[in-house]
Amino acid sequence: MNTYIVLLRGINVSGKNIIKMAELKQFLTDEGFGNVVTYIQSGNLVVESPLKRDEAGQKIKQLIMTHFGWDISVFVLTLKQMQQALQNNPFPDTAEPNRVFVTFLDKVPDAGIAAALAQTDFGPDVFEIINDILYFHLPGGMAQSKMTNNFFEKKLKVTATGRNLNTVRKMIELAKK
Amino acid sequence: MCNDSPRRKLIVELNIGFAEGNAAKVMPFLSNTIIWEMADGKILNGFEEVSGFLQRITQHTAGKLIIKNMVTHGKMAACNGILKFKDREVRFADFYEFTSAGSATIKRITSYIS
Repeated sequence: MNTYIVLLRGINVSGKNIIKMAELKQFLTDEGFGNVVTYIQSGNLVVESPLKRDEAGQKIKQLIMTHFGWDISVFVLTLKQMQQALQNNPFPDTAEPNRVFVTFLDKVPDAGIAAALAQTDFGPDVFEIINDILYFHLPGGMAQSKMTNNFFEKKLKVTATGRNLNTVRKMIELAKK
Repeated sequence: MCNDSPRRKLIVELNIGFAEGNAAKVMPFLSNTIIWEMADGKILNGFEEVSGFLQRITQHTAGKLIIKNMVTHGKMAACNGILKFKDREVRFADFYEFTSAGSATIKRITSYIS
């Protein structure tokens, strides 16, 4: 049996893609996923499944489509991958964890596009891409920042979903139980 | 703006969600980059952090919500009232900024609570 951390992109926000996590948990359990745990409303789950990682992601995506009618991007990670993502965080430990974001990309972005974006002046906000994970730090918070999930998706031509460091740590904790 | 305008209904629904401690009801009204500033200077940054905060307070469900005043204008709105819990009352005044005048998505909340 495999334990996976599942991140859903863009649910329950701005009145779009509404998914009640309690209902999703029940649907996943009914479809054979074990020990399903959900965390807050932004689409974070831990599940157990005998399926391979890609298969589990496809099945969850299909279940969401069937039961809720939304075509949602689903990111599935192993505990080891999530721990590695946390370990690779390039920002200092002194950075507030609610202002550091770990954004999972569906592919490694084009190096030329990423390099061009890196030349942009974002003021105090900084980002760094390590393979298919983008890290960004907003010392002044989100209010004045250009850096959002949608911004990076558009610029890098990827599909992405991000979580702050607190959520990343929480998901690792839940997956270890 | 009339009393049953969509914006006023939205604010009532939002506050019922707060009173019920029902994060699932509240979150769809918020933008991904929501900023929630508390009177003590604490700032919640973004959908996730607000969602986490609401999850932590879900064990506190108010038995009664009284909305005393509400004003809406352009992309701004405000309301004040009282949340009556079993053992205490919380008086609140909230200011809401929407993403635009016609939007149903809130991008900033400033809360004063006593």
